[in-house]
Amino acid sequence: MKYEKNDVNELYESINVDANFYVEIKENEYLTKIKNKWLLINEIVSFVNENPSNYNNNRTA
Amino acid sequence: MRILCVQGIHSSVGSTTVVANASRILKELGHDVLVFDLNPNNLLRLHFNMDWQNPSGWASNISHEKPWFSAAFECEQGVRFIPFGQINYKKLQSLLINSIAETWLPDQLNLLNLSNDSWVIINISSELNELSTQALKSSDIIIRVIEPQINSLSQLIDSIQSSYIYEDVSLINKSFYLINKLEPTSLLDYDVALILKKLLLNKIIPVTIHFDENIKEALANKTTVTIHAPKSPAAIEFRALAIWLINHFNR
Repeated sequence: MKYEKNDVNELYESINVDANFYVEIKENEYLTKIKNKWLLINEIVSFVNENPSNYNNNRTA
Repeated sequence: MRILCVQGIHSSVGSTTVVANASRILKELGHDVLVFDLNPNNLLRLHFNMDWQNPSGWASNISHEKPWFSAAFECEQGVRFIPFGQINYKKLQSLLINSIAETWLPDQLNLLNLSNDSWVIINISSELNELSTQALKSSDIIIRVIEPQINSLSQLIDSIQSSYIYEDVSLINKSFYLINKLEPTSLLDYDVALILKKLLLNKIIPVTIHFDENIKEALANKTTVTIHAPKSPAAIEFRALAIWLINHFNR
């Protein structure tokens, strides 16, 4: 099958989006595993999630 | 003049080692570098082969009513450094109260009349005092050194909620975090490092310094790992850090 230049770009973009989505799902799964494994990490991350506005203002400013 | 300030998120995270190695590599790469130790533990000098018994430094000079800049030294590789000096607790308190005016540090740096492409790297303690707050304010970029350990993670969240840095947007904007001493065999270290990266996002420097026995051996030989074991993983990572710093200023 022959691809034109634009087709290749579209194909690449779609693979990239899928790959990023997959990586994000896998990363979130792993983060959940970390939280389940380490009690104190779970407490700290839960605290951050409960105080997102305070935290995000500082992080992204 | 580019002013870099390095501070540990708490004590013993390796911020002095970061200062010593970064300064040596920047010098190797042809930059003019001056290192200023504002940390009363006075350890930076040992990375530059200064005599352990030599009490000289800018703070001890001031407390003996001598000009502070006469305590400047130069290591064999050409990095100029100003040690803190050895002074006792009472003299330190007196110095901070009586001799360090509100704009002391920026005033002294201006007096040095350094060229625009010179680097000034300031080593400060993790505790806040008049000196460290002046250094944070005067700097163009702040590197906060953090270990991938639970106590560092806890301290980080505490500091984000309440520290001096997070009350000032200009300080937040120029602050970046460096993960140091990541133990390659520790799963927990990798887990905490991942959490730190998720929490801090673009504030994490994309170079991680791994734990390396060569770093300890280098200090035992009064030098830096970039000299002691230039091909070691840590030396390569410190070089990557220096390149990141140069790129940061070239952006």
